[in-house]
Amino acid sequence: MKNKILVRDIALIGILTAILFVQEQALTFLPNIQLTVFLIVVYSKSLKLSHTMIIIFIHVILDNLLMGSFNLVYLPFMMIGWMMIPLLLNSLFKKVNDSFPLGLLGILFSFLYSWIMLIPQAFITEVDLAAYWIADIPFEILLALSSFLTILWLYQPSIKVLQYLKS
Amino acid sequence: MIMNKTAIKIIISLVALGLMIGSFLYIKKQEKAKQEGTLTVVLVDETGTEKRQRLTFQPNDTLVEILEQHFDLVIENGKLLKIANLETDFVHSFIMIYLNGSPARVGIEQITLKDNLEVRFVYTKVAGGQS
Repeated sequence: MKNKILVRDIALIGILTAILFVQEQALTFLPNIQLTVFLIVVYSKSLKLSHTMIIIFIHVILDNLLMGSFNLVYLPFMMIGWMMIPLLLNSLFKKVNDSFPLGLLGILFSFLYSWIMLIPQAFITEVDLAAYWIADIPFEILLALSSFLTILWLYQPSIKVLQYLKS
Repeated sequence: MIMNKTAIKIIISLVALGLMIGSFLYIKKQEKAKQEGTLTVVLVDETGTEKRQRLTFQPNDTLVEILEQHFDLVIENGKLLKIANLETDFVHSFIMIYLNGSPARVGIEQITLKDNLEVRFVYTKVAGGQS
């Protein structure tokens, strides 16, 4: 009974996946500025680990279908890069609940994700990994700071909304 | 104390925002070509027919500027809606961009011009597969 997934959970997972996917597509015109890290942090802190993992799994599949015709080189790295957030927030950083330290963790997650994604990028484009990383630094800073700012200002109100939806 | 906390939050946010704007401007500057060169533009329409065109560019040119000089181009909010005979509503179809054969991970306005770059624009139906 405890592990049963309710209809309300399925509906919530669907809605939250749609929000995650749509915001990323809607913000593609801005270089690496997105709410993905912020949303995954909010989901990780308010939903069950398994539910957050399902959301990320669907999001990554959809993203790959749309952006790269299901590119099998990107997919596992993207999956690891995003899945790492709920896994770390539910283990090592389980006790971190304040928006400022979570914002700092958002910076860490953004850099970790960017570095994980360097591997398939360098593999596909066949460029020198170090040169690619240096060129990627401004994009990494943008992702890290947009994640930090959104978590800092929007984490607490978003958690309240999600908790209200779940109650 | 609460006031202090909010003030610190605002100051940190302003610093972060300044850094973001700096990074954004740096990226915009990087989009410009550093040297002259040539690029190949490949257009693949609904039927799979390919049209190739070789173009030259000068330092400080951007891909969008070069494309605008040679093709009928429509970009809205960073999304490519039309290039030459490829036209999409971004609902039922979109124009997939490949750089040297790999899917572009950035939008058309963020692609940096490099010598011998091949930019392939493929009309792609949503849920219907490539052209």
